[in-house]
Amino acid sequence: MKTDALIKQLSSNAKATRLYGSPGALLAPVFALSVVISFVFLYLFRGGALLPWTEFPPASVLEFGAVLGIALSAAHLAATLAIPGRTIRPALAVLAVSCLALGAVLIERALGDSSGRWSDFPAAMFASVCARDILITAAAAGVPLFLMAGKGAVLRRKLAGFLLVLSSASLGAVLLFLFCERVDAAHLVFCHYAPPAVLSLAGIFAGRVLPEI
Amino acid sequence: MAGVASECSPVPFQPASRGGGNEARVQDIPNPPDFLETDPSLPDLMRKAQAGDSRSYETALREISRMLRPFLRSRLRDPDAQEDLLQEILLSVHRARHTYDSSRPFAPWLHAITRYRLIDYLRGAKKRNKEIADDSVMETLVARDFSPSLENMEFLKEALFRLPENQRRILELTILEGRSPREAAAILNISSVNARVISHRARRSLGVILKELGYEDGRIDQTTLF
Repeated sequence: MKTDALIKQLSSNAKATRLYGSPGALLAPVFALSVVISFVFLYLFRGGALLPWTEFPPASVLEFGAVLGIALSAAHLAATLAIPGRTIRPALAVLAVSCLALGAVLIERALGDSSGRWSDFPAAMFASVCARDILITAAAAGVPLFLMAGKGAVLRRKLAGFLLVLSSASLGAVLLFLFCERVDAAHLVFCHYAPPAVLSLAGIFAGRVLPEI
Repeated sequence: MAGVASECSPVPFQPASRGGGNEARVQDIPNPPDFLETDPSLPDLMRKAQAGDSRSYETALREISRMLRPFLRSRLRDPDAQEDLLQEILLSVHRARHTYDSSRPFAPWLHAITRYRLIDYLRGAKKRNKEIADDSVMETLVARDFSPSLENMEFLKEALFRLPENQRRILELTILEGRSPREAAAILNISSVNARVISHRARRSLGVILKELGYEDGRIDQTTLF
């Protein structure tokens, strides 16, 4: 088909389009919905056993903030990737800093952990209730995020898939703070943080479900 | 416009080297300030196009084509490939038009789409170079000076008959009927990506079948026909 004919065909079929909007404005309600979905799933799976807030140790505030930063920044990056030509540097910087902060906290925990449970790996991860919960909530919470990205124009689908799954799985890890009382480093690394890392690699393939432009 | 400066690092433009048969490399694709000088009316045209104004949309697409042609000429030697890639870019612009914010510069948005499509094309070029070896038998068979004698047509029909139905149908549409891959995809009610994949497999399979049937150097071994 000649280019001229293509232009005439495309312009003759032009209809008013619903604008996609800015990443931040789009992400806020979608991320909130994902949080609600994750919380509901975890609440049901854990039989409503929420931990009391008074038992939230100070050291975990940084850890909580770091994991939340990963979940939020990964989702924001994916929303930004759905708009061609937008810069991803600010959200990428937040993601990098959050990952470093989490790494620092985990190293500090590991050095102070004398429980000797590191030898439980890999059985700990595959048999863990926490890992199971993260897997299921990642799948459920990932749906609104994928729908949000799919309505845009994602050029880098593999990267977007990776970030979307990282975000939804990290969200599960964030909310587990409300349900899981264990603070030993081995459990946190293998059952709270390794599953999102592994799942996000699978997200590279999940990115194929996003429409190609 | 400060937003544009922060988005795009000022990398000096390096034209692609023009060696024998070498296309542009991915690293040679420059950043927006060196890439395009966009018409200042484009944001307004796109805004009207997003509102459903066909005329503004046609003007915008023509302006985009006018801007991209010199860039594509500097990247690809084959004029047919330039037009194909330009059409791919226009289709992507069409599918992504709802994501453009008319209050922001147009160049980074168009550049991102163009860059993505060009990278896609360059990556596919390696596979296409391999396809050429398989296509040469088929192209010779359907060349204009191909004698439509009874033996040759029966030969081609026999070769096509041995293909799976979806592969045979797509070759009939694109080669025998001269339709574009997009038109073939629309007729067969499949996506254009799927049509390209099936076409690629069909050409490779047909090349193998033709060789099995004894087609070599323009001569057909009649004893292997049936």
